Amino acid sequence: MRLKLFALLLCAVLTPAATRAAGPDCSRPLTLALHEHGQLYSSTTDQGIDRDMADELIRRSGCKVTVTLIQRARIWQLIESGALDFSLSGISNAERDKFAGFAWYFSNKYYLLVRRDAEVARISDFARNRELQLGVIRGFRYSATANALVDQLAEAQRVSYASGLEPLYQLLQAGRIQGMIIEPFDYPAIESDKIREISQILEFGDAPVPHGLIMSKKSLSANEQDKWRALIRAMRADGSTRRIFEKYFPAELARTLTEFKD
Amino acid sequence: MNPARRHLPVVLVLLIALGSTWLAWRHEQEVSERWLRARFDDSLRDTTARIVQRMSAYEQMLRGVQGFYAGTGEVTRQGFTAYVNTLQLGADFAGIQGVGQITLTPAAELPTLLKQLHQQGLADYSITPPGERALYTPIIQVEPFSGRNRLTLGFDPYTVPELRAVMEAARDSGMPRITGKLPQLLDPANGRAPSVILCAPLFRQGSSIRTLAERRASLIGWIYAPVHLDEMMASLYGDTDSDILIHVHDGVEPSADNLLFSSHPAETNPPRLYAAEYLEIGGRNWVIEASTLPGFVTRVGHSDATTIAISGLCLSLLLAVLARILATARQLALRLAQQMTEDLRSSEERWKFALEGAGDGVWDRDLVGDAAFYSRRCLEIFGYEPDEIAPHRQEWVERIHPDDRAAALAATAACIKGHQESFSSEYRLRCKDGRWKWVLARGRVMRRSADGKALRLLGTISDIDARKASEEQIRHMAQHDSLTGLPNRALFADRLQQALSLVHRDHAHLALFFVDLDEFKAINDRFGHATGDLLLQEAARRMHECIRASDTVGRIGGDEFVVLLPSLSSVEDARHVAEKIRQALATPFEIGGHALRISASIGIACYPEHGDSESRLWSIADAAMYAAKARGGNRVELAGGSPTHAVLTPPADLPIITP
Repeated sequence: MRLKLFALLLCAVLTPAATRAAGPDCSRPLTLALHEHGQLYSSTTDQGIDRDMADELIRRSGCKVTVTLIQRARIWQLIESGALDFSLSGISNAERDKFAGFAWYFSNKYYLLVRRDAEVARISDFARNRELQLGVIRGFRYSATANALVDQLAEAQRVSYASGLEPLYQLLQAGRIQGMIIEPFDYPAIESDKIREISQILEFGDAPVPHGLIMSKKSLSANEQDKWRALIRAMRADGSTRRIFEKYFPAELARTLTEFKD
Repeated sequence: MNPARRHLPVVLVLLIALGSTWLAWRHEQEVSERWLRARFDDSLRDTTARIVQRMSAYEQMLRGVQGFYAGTGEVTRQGFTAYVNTLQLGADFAGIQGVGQITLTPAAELPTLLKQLHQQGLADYSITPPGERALYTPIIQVEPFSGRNRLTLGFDPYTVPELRAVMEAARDSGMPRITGKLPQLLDPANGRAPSVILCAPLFRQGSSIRTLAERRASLIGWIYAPVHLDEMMASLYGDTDSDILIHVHDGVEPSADNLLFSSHPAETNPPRLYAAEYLEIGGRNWVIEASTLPGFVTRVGHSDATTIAISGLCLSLLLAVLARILATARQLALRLAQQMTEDLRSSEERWKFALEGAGDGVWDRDLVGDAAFYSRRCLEIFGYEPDEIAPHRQEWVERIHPDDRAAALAATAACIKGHQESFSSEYRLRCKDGRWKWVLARGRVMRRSADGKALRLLGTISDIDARKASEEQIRHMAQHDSLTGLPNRALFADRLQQALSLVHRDHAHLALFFVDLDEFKAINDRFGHATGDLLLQEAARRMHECIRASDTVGRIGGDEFVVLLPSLSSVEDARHVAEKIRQALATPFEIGGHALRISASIGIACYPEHGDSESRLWSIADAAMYAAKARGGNRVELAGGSPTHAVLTPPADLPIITP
């Protein structure tokens, strides 16, 4: 009886420690960078999906994480160098897989937002008309067909690069570009009268592309990355992720974005 | 060949060479252009990144001031001055003209503020623009407090809508924000060059600024820093390409009004390459324009295209010239070959005409194989059409008369073996109709191998059948009597000589008759030579009928005949034959409607009984004939003996029987 009581006490003492041991290593301050992008994050309001995801992730990990706002192109450079530990809403490709790990938490399609006066009825029409310029965010990659269009137009010097969405919207309105690639969390901006009046949306037709937590392979070991992945999985499993998206999207769209096959 | 076709290869070579040159030239240009564009894009990206980094550094500097406030709470004028001095703006933050602080002051608190400032030694401090308003945001300190910075002290930027919007944006976001091209009073460099102002909010120490409402409630002022773009751009880290024109504009639509910076203000030439990159900095959009200057294209865009074009052009012309030479040489060769072919054809025609005109055929034999060629004339000689006989040697050989075949083959073989340079042989060939025809075959070896083996035999065939017949006729005329067709004296003597040789060798017997027609002269004189000739012909025919095939009757004079019996069993046999002849000639002749009667005196000499030489036998037989004639004629006289048969001498007036 005494022995059983001792064992129970021992378990009670050790369980929190064991739980902590299963979580990420918080022995050093970590860094996470946000970037301004539609409903992902707005520095004006300091709000957005990525902000909420970061807060929830930091809360669950129990780690001290410094959150900064950095341009997307620079984020990838810092992740590669190991100077930055995390960022959010990243998509993968062969080059990025070399230096970054990912933990997926939503998936979405890409669309071409194109000026009505460009007379583009299909995606292929855009490439065919040599007068049309496409605006993209430097450092961004998209779905396969969208990437192919960007690469093709870049070869023909028909791409204008910007550091964020906002200059692209202005360029589109000014007619300096005729199209730009958007995602569902850019919808609110599109719903503004000025943009809606002059533009239309075309779907690329590719499968949804998973987005996730970006982890620097240089600063985080594979074991640590797995622990962060486990946190993301748990957020998805208990509905936290979906609830965050429901703050910004209708419930059906939030479900579509967050319920995907990993 | 018409001129267009003659020059076509040269034109084609020139076009292909020029086309290749054009492709190489174009490829080199594309590579060069791509390289130029890549270097240009790199330069723009690099410049953009450095601007972003530099602006981030400025923002970080303001964050430092924010941290100074957050850490100390109440900041004294001396403390602010010391802090700004520590930043060493001139060195590490080139472009920043100073750092100032703005305090958010409701109208009710303004007298207190002014009183404090006056107490701090700013006796002349006043707020511009003046006037009553609910909220004041005066600049209460600018460091370093010198030069044009002094002019900004007391200015209330909230009174300028654009500045107020930026200040509120900074308040709401909690982060530094930047103005557009708004130099005005806040910019001490005003009038010299474009500047912008970086502005960051200051919050009350210890207050929460997590939400927008909290940030608005906690705001106590701002700090700001005017940035002189020319100096900032000049101090960017790294090397800036001096051959690239950089323009920085506020907003996304470049214009002279919103130009913040130009690396080459005087440059107006249209650029070879142009690109723009759009940045979001401190809540504003900037467009960074890059344009190439001539020096960049010269330095980076070095291309071998011109060298390739010139080299290719020269090579193309060279190739065209070579092609022209080759084409000309080929045309000359073709012309020469054509001339040679025509010469050869003419020669062949001449030879053909010469050969076939002469009636000769040509044959050509391949001695390595068994093939042979026969000209049309060659086949015509034997009555064949072309392709009617197999062109093989053996077929030819089998056509040669068996009696001639060995000699013909021997002559050919001797030539093939090289014993003689050419051969010529006459033989008979079987014609299509089965006749034998005499031909003259001549030939020579035309080609031999290195070891002397004959490879090819060429020759002609001449039809000599007529010649052979003519020769036979001449030979016959030379040896025979033209009137009777009997052997003449020469042929008869030859046969007698041969017969003597044989009987001498075989110890056999022969007989020689001398036959002389009695009273022939009288008939000839009486009835004429024509009748006499007919009589002689008939007499000869009768004598020929009386002897064997191996025997010979010859005519040696007008009415003198000789008979040779080369194979004789006995003298009696000779006598018997002679008697038979005498009787045949004694039978009356029916000639020209006349019955003519003559007789013959025959002298016989036998070997070896009467002599063993030709002359001996000849004279003995002649003597025996004269003996018979001396005895009245119409009798046979054996040499050295009595007449074998006595007959009556015909009377001188021998009756002539007429029909």
